[in-house]
Amino acid sequence: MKIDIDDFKIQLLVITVLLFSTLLLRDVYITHLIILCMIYSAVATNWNIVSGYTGVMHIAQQPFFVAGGYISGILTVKLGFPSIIGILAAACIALLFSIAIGAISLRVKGIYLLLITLAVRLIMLSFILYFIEWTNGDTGILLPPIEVLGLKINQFNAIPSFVFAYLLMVASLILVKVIVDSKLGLAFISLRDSEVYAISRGINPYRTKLTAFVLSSWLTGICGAFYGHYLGTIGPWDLGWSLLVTLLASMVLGGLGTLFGPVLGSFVLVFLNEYFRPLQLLRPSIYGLLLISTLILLPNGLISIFEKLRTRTHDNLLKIKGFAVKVSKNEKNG
Amino acid sequence: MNNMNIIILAIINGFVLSSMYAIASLGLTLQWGVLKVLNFSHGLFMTWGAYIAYWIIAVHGGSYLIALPSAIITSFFMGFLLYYLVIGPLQERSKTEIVSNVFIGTLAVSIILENLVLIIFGGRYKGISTIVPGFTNILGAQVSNQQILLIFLGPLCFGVLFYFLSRTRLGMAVRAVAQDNVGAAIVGIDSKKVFAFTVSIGSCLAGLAGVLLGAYYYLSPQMGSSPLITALFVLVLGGMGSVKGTILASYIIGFIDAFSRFYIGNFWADPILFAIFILVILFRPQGLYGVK
Repeated sequence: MKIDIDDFKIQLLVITVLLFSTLLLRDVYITHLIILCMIYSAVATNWNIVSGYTGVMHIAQQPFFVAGGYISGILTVKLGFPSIIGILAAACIALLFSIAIGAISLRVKGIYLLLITLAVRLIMLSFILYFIEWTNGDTGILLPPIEVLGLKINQFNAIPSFVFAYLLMVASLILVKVIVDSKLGLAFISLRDSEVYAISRGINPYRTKLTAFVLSSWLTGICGAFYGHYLGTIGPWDLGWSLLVTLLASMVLGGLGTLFGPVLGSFVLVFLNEYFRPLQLLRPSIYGLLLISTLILLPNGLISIFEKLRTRTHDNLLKIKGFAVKVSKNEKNG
Repeated sequence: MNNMNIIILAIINGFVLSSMYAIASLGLTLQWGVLKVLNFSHGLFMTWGAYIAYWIIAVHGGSYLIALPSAIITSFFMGFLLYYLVIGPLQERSKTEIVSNVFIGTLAVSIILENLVLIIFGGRYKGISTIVPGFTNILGAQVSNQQILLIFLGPLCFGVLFYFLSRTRLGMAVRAVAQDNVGAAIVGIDSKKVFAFTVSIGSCLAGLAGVLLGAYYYLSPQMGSSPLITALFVLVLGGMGSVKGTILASYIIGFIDAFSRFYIGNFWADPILFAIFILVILFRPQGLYGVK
């Protein structure tokens, strides 16, 4: 059987095998980190639909994520619903949020859109701090584990959490793959590459961008709910700069508009951050330096390393082939 | 009479806030107007200005006469480095995703600068002595002399910047590059040098704003983040890149801020500002003075 490395199923299979083989290490901490990586990469992959493929740079993905966590927390802790309802509600609230925010903010472009979503984030922060009886203000909400079929999923129960996070990540990847292969995905990409041309071919930019926004939000809400239940807490600090930079940087450093870029980006960022743990206090500085140098040295993202390697081997193969052709010609002439 | 006092205090506070917002956002406006990038590390430049003043005044016992110039000069060189190490290469190397790349790049710079402040000075809140001591009685309200100084500093900065941009050769070069990069290159202006210089001047203003903020409030590694947000807001309301618009906008925002804090309460001042911010972007993205 011929193995085609461009086949999506085989790529997924490779990722699955690599991820699940780390479970054999039986290291609780590494498993925890990989679960976090998978949540981040699921969010970044969804974000990539809007920012990577449609070319609309925004930072509303973090509010979707945190809103999912908060709504699930409020439903399970304050109102006593089962956690499954909380997770479904998280998807719904993220959808509603994305429709509302998208309908307002997609009327403008570029830096204005970035600033509007920044303001949305700040308004959400002040509302969280104001409605203390619902959100517990600065303390945050302590969430119970997710209960599925008598199984409790949180950070003290690593294997089910791992499977849940893995499913979220794979679902996001499949969602993106399906969208990009469809006509809708073509519309997204054409809007990114040339909006004028896309409009002239009959694509409504506002409606199409809004569709991208809505499609990217619901899984993010579920991710947020899972993140809250998994860590057992969600609070205003999750709306802070550090989570934003982690999510945004995993998307941009991994490679905007590439399928596996965000996954690669989040794993590299989280594990490099762990690798620099011995530096203690200086760690954020090194992290920042790494971000800047990667942005400058690899403007197309970390995934472009693989592309370069592949084209190089391809070129080498061509060279060898050409050489063979030359040799055979010479032989003929000789 | 008490009510009258509150109104006077609100007006004075409005002038002080407006003046500080103006100084904090003028640098950002200049940078956006010339380079067309938004510098999210502007807030940390304010923090650094404040901490340099703290280092000179509280640690070494110097006065503001030494602290203020040295904070400004240090900020100038830091701005130079910021351009040549981060913004310049990013502008050159990224094609379509320049907005996100500069956003992440300058956020990374602010992570580094905040971390360095934390390592060097520690995370505890600090204060520096007021710039001028004493109080003055204005119509029955107690106003500190420092507030009066701050009220005049904002227009002064604006005047100096305006004179620089409209009368000096260097200022004209800056305006030329802002208007048309290629045209400026044709008449022999090195746009890269002008870019670097603009980022440095913007950083100087951030450093000055930082010293004033530090003297008026307190110092902490996170002190720059909320002035940065306000500066972004002023930038948008004034029209991205317009110096006159920035001044007008900072007075509008300053007074809205001061009066809503007095009458509606401290909590709702911020959400009101953000809501106005969104409305302005939606209905008048060119702001008060800018061109769309």
